[in-house]
Parts: sequence; structure tokens; C-alpha cells
Amino acid sequence: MNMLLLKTMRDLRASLAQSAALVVIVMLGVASFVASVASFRDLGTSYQRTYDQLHLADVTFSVQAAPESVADDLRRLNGVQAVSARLVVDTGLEMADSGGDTQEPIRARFIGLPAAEHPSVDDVLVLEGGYFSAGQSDAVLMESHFAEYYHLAPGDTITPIINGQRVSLQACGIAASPEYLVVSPSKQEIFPSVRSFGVFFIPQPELQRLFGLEGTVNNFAVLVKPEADTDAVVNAARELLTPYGLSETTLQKDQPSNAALNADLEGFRELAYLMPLVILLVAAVSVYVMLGRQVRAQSPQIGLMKAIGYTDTAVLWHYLLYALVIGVLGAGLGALLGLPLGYAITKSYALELGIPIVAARFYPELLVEGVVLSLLATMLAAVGPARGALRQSPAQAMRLDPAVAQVKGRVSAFERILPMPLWLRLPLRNVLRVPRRSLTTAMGIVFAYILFLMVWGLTDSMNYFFQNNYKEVERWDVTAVFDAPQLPDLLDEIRGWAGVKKVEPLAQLPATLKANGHTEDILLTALGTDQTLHGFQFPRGTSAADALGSGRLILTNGLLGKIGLQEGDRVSLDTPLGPQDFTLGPPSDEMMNSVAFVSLTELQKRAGAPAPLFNAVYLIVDDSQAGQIKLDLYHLPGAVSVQRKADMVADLQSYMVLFYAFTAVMLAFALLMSFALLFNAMTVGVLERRREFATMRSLGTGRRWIALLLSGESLILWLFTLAPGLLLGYGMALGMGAAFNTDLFTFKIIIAPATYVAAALGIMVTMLLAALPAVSQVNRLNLAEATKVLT
Amino acid sequence: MSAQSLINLQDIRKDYPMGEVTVHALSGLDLNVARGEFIVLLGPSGSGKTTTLNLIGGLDRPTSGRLVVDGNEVTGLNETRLAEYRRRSVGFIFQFFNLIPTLTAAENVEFALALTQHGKTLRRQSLDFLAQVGLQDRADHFPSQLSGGEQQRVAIARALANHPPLLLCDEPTGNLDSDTGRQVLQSLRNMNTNEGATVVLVTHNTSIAPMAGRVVHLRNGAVDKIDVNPAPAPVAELAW
Repeated sequence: MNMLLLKTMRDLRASLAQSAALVVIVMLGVASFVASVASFRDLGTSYQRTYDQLHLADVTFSVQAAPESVADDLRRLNGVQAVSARLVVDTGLEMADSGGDTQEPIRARFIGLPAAEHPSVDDVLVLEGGYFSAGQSDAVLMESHFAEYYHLAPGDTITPIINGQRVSLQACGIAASPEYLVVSPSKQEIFPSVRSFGVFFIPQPELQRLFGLEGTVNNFAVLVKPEADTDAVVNAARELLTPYGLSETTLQKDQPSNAALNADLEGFRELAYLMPLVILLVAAVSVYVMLGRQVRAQSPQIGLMKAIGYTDTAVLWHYLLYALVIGVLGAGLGALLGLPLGYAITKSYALELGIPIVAARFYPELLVEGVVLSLLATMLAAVGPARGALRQSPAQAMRLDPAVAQVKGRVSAFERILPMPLWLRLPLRNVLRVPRRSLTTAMGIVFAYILFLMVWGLTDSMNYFFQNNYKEVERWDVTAVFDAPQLPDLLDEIRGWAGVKKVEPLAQLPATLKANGHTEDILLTALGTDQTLHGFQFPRGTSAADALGSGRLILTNGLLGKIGLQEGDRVSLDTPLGPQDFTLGPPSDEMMNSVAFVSLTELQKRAGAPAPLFNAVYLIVDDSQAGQIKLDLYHLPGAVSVQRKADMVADLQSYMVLFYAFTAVMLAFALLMSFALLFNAMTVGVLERRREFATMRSLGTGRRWIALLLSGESLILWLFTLAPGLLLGYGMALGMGAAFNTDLFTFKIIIAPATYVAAALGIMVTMLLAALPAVSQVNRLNLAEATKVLT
Repeated sequence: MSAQSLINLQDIRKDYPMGEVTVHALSGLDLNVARGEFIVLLGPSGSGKTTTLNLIGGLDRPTSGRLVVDGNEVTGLNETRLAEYRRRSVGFIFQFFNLIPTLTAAENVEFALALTQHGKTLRRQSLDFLAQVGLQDRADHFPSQLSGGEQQRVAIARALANHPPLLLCDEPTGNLDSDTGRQVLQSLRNMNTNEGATVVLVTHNTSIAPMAGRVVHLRNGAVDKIDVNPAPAPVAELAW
């Protein structure tokens, strides 16, 4: 074996624990890269394969009502490949709890499908039981998430409330739908709620019969030919469907489930690349520190190698080889770990989301990329220290006392400005004695702060969202939406129910906003000027009554920013009432984007109606009566959906469990990283200063004092990293928050002061703990040996 | 042990396990050192002289035997008590100086002072000790800015900082040229005659032996012979 290679292997073995730690860090970096990128790609492929196999619509049009024959007109348009015309109706559904008692009704969506064959667009995949069979009029297919949540099976009965009456329907099967991989009722309801929203597929003729809408459809799902111009097809279809009360045009990318999945995947993608890069950066820092120490400690050996004839290149490659071995070992193990890990992530993610078609494959290019990344990280980090080995002449190198040579022999600026006692001077000078090592260690600590604040900042921000959106903005307890405008008598009727403390009317219409070249689908919401149950977040000095009373349109800050508008600008809305122009009023600083507000009076005026039109209500109710009130609301004619805010919040918080688990893992990782970095740096420092510490002990310095000295070094490093860590952490959290913004939602990063304190204290404690092994090392020094030998 | 004895080693044994072999560094060493003596431990490499010094200084523990220093049993002390012993009873001077590189000359002395005292006088005291070894002008220099001889003299000043009754010197001139070595030896002689410090000096250099009152020859881990020198030679006359 080549002698330098032999020496490298012996050196690695001599510092086995640290070398192993480096290999593990590189392994984690490569494994997380291979696993997350493979999983990200597999999930994207799985979604796409599901869409392709089940023919997810390229565009969906919602109308008030149209005859089924309109589908044929659509099919004749240039560029249209296939059309499914459907009746889609929302209503209430009574569910029984495990004891057989009826719970509060939930919202159910019924979608009409062809009775005897699968639809050509937006098909379903039957997972259990079977598709409808001929003559089976009261059969229904249950969407899989709902069926799983409520432990339902083919043969079970469901009881929707249709036109105020309970109707029994029997489930013939369980199906997955490409439209509901994430089960969300609409684009505006960005958080899925399996518990309170179920989707069912029913033979179209039966659905039409149940609702008294024979021959009528209100939804067209269209597949566009691959070679066609989608915009042209959409425009032509919109022109065709406008007479039927076209209310919404939804491209595939904006389809709620697809949009949610893509947003989630995008977040996953960012993490898939960011996390491994951070880990590999940590590995690079550690290699730099470790190899730097090695070179310094082996200075006499380097002098000897050069003295007996090894070239500079040979010496350089000898030290680069160390990093190469670490990189190769780490990459190899990482690839072995990453492949099955990626598959496991894909499977469990798909299982959790209920993705029916999972496509996982082997990505050989990822292994190559992982190896390249790992070698880049370790080798680049090794270049500096390896070149340092060449700086001195052989004679100088052989005379060198590494510990003394490090110290330039000057007093730092801190000491010149601030006189300090010896017990403070010593740790400060120790931190500053090898500036590059301290700087790279500090960088690693700053990364730990960044990770900590990014992740915990997200948690704080979600908590702020709950607080802001569900307490300060949405102040109602229950809301109900109807399928048509209601009479004012309804308000009096509801007010008379037991447990109802307040009722406020509102109107909700789908609309499309056009301005500055942008087109945005929004929910136009009309509120009374005296309303109190929507808490607008206006600038100080602006009242809701004034803002609404002016007849202007209120948008949220997020939407204004996206389109590039401001108060006073003019915009156009396509609404069921026809095109409407508005002047923009003051913005409301809310996190939901796809809403716009106007007064009920203004809507009435534009509709030419004799009285304010409302198709929804906000209620404040007695909590004990909420269940009954919800049931009564569903029994009202035309009631499409009834939501209780407490249920929405509970559903959201159940989703947060996974998020909190993720946060905990990332926090643990941040602390582990700072521990590993500092452990490495301090252990290296102690190894270099063995003789110094042994001398201190032989002078009679107690172990406690030495422990304080080493802890002091940790604390000083902590102090240096505190401000940059917190500032950069906040900055990165802001950046991450921006990545979460979607068309529907502006994510505000709000980091609680306590979080900054927790970050600072958490990292400080971790750094102090990381000093303990070094303290233990010093305490175990053989004084007789260490005071005599040059380290 | 006589009433004047400062150090008393009784049947001291020290074994070092080295894999499958055990090295018997000391095999039943008996030695008394009187208070105020200047003795040299002389012997070839492997004779046990450094081991003896390390045991007396509390840097190592004997395998068996008894060590009493200044009337106190040192064998069997726990680490905390040993640290205190090293702080108050012993001043150690090493072959490689062992100064703390991030502290100046004065601060290295102050470092030792701070182990037993507090207050604003530490700086002044450290300067006084440096003056004793002729280095008051180099007080604010770091070890990297001092010559070998100067570093060793700082080490001596540091060793004296807490007025230990006992100075243990392990090859103090081993890394120095003869002129500088003589300066260092003169400092040690001054501490012995002027301050009454008991000095035990380990060397393999026979030329240094004449400066001692007694020369203890070690061989194979035990005392081979002891030469008494009624008229120790002046340092200036030593030559190597």
C-alpha cells in the first residue's frame, strides 16, 4: 500500500470517534438528499399518474344551471378532447357516532356520474366494492378519505338532508377521485377537513331527481387536447357558458386539491434541497476544523516528510485524501440509507394523503449527485488546511510548537477597550487564538439559530394565524350558506331559535377580478355596514362602517400586493350580476387573499333588488346549542353548507400535530448540529492544548476552574453569535414564510419574543453541554505524560 | 524521618502496564530530602528520575509505598486535595517551559497567583516575581515573543508565585544552550539560598551535579548511591 495512504488510514483510526462523527454527518447529508429528492420526485409522479389515469380535468366551469346538451356544444369546440357534464350539489349529512347517536350534521358534496359507465373526465378509481350497476338508483360511492375517517364500508347507509328531508342512500363502494386527493370544498377553504366534509358520487339521474333538477347540470369538466391552446379553449368555452350563469372557471393548476398538493410539494422541494445542503455545510465546517487541527498537530511530521523528499503535491494530496475518504464513506453509507428511506417517505406520505396510485422508482443520477455533493463539501473544506501544511519550511515545521505558534502575541481590541480580569481574558483569547476555526464554528452556530427560528417561527406564525384569523377576523360561531338569495324573514326565524344570540346576513358570490393584466378568482362577500362578525384589519383610524359604507371594494393586502394595486384604483369584477367596476377602498390586513368585500347595500343597488340580498348568515350561538342549531340550519330549504368555527379550528389543529412533530424534529436537529459543531471544535482545541491544560492542573488549578474556563469559551462564542444568529434567523424565517404564500393565503411570519429567548437559551445550554466532553478529557489527562510531550 | 525532612519516600514502587509487558519504573525507592536542600537526581534514561519527580509533585500516583511531604501524607489524596497540594506545596518547572501561550509573561505568573489570592495586587506581585528573575522589562510579552531562556525564567517566576516550600525541576536546562542554562540554574540557586526553597532537580547532565548539596544517583528504579557535596560549586563554574 502507498505509504501516505497507509498513514491516512492510521490517522483516521487514531481519531476514530471524530472521523466516525464526520462520516455520520456526511452520511446524513447524502441520505437526506437522496431520500427527500427521490421522494419529492416520486410524489410528483404519483400525483401526475393519478391525474393521467383518472383524467383530471384541464379546466372546470361552474354555472348556475344548464341543460346536459350543452356538453355536446362544448365537445364541438376546437381543442376540446372530452367533456363531463355534472350536477354538483352540497348539502348536509347526518352522521351517527360510534354509539349510534346522531352527531352534528356535516357538509356533503354529491357529484353526479354516469350511471352505467365511468366518466370520460374526472373519473374515479373504485378501491372497494364496485361502480354503480344498472338499476341501482340509490347507490352511492363514498370518497375514500371520508369512508376511512368514519370507518365506513360498502353496504353502509348514509343519510343526507335533501330539500329538508332525510334520504337514505346505500354505499356500493369506496372510490378515490383526482379532484379530492386533498379533500377541500373550495379554493377559499385552504385547509382540508375530512371530518366535516365528505364527497359522494351518485348516478346523475338519481341526483337530479332527488333535487328536482332533472336534465340539469351545473358543472362542466373539460379535457383539452395536448396540442390545443388552452387559453383559446377556455375563452371559447366561457363565451358558450356565459348565458348559463357562468360563475367560476378553474384551471387544473388552481383546482383546490391540485393546488394544495402542489403548494405542499413545492414546500417539500425547498426542504428537500435546503436540509441536505445545511447538513453538508456542517460536515464541511467540521472537516475544516478537524483537518486544520491535524495539520497543526502533525507539523513536525510534515516537516519530516518534506525533509526526506516528499513533494508539496504529495503532502497536499495526503491531507486531501483524509477528506476524500470521509466523503466517499459518508456518501456510500448515505446512498444505502437514502434509497430505502426515500421509498418509505413516499409510501407513508402517499398513505397519509390517500393517494391511490403511487409511483416510486430508482434514481441512479441522485446517487451520483449525492456523491458529488459530499465530495465537494468535504474536499473544498479540506483545501485550506491542506494548503496550510505547505506554508512552512521543513526546518521550521519540525521546530514548531503548535500551541505556541497559534498565538500571534497580541491583545485583542476587546481588551484594549474594556479592562477585564484574568479569568475572562483567558477564555476570550482562547476563542480568538485560531480565528478561522472560531469563525467557522460560529457560522455553524448561526446556522443552528437559523434552523431554530425558521422552524419555531413557523409554529409561532401558525399560532398567530389561529389567533388572528379565527378570533379577530372571523368572529362568528356558525355560518350557513344557501343555494339562493333568502328572504329577510329567515333572519327573524333564526333569531327566534334557542341558543342564537346574534344573526347577521351576508352574500357570497364567486367573481373574477381583472386588473393590471391579472385575473383572479375570488369570493365576493357583501356585508352590512353595521356588521360586527367580520373583523376587518384596517389601518388605524379607518372604521369598517366607513370603508364599507363608501360603496368601495375592500381587498386584502396580500391580493393588492400581488396584483400591484392600491386604494383608489379602479378594478373590474365579472360576477353573476354581470361585469361590475369598483373603486378600491382601504386594504384589510388579513391573511386570506381570495376574498373581496363590499356592502350589502351596494350589492343591492347594483343588482337592482328591492331589498338587500343575502345567501348566507353569520351566527353567534350558545355553545351548548350549537349542534342543534347546525342541524336546524341544514333542514332549512336550500342550505348548502353549515360550518361551525370550533370544528374548523379543531380540524386544523389536528393537522398541526404532524407539523408540530416536524418542528420538534427540526429543533432537535438544530440543537444536535450546534452540539456536534462545538463538540468537534472544543475536542480539537483540548487536543491541541493538552500540555497547557496539564500545566494548569499541575500548578494546582482545580477541575472546576478548568470546567469554568472551557464553559467560558463556549459562552463567549455564544455571545458573538447571538445577534447575527437571531437577526439572520428572523430574516430566513421571513424568506421561508414568503415561500408558503399562495394565491389564496399570505403567510405572516410573527415570531414571539419568547421564541428568541428560547432559541438563545436552548443553544447556550447545548453549547455548555458540548463543552462537557472536553472538560472530561482535561480531567482525565495523564499529567506526567502531557506536560512532557509536545502535542 | 528526621524533624528537618521535607520529603520522605518510603518503598515507593511505580509500575506502568505497556500492553503485555509491565515496566517497573520504580522498584522500592527510599529517599529523604531535608528542608532547604538543593539535590540533583541523576541517572540514565529510564532510571526513574522523572517518575520520582512526578510522584513528589502529585502529577502521578505510586503503585505502592508511602510519600510524605511536609508532614502530610500525599499518597492516597483525592484529586481535589492533590490539586490543593500542588497549588500550595509545589512549584514545578518543566523542560519545555509549558507557559500558557495566550497569556503574557506577567499574566502567566498572575495565573498561578490567582489560584491562592484575589485582589488588585496580583499584577504588582507578578511583576515583582519577574524582577526576581530579571524579566521585569518583558512582562507584557507573550511566550512567542520570548527566547527559550526567558520562557524558562518566566516559568521559574510562576513556580515561585505561591511561595512553595518545594521546587521540582525536570530537566530545566534540557532545551537551552549552556549560557542560558546557567542563567536558569543561577535563578534556582538564588531561590534556594535567598528564599530557602527546597530544590529537587532532575537531569541526565552530570555537569550540573556539582551545584547540588547532594546528588542522588538512580538506577533501575532505585537509589544506587548518594554523593554528598559539602561545597557545592558556583553556577558560573559549571560547564557543558
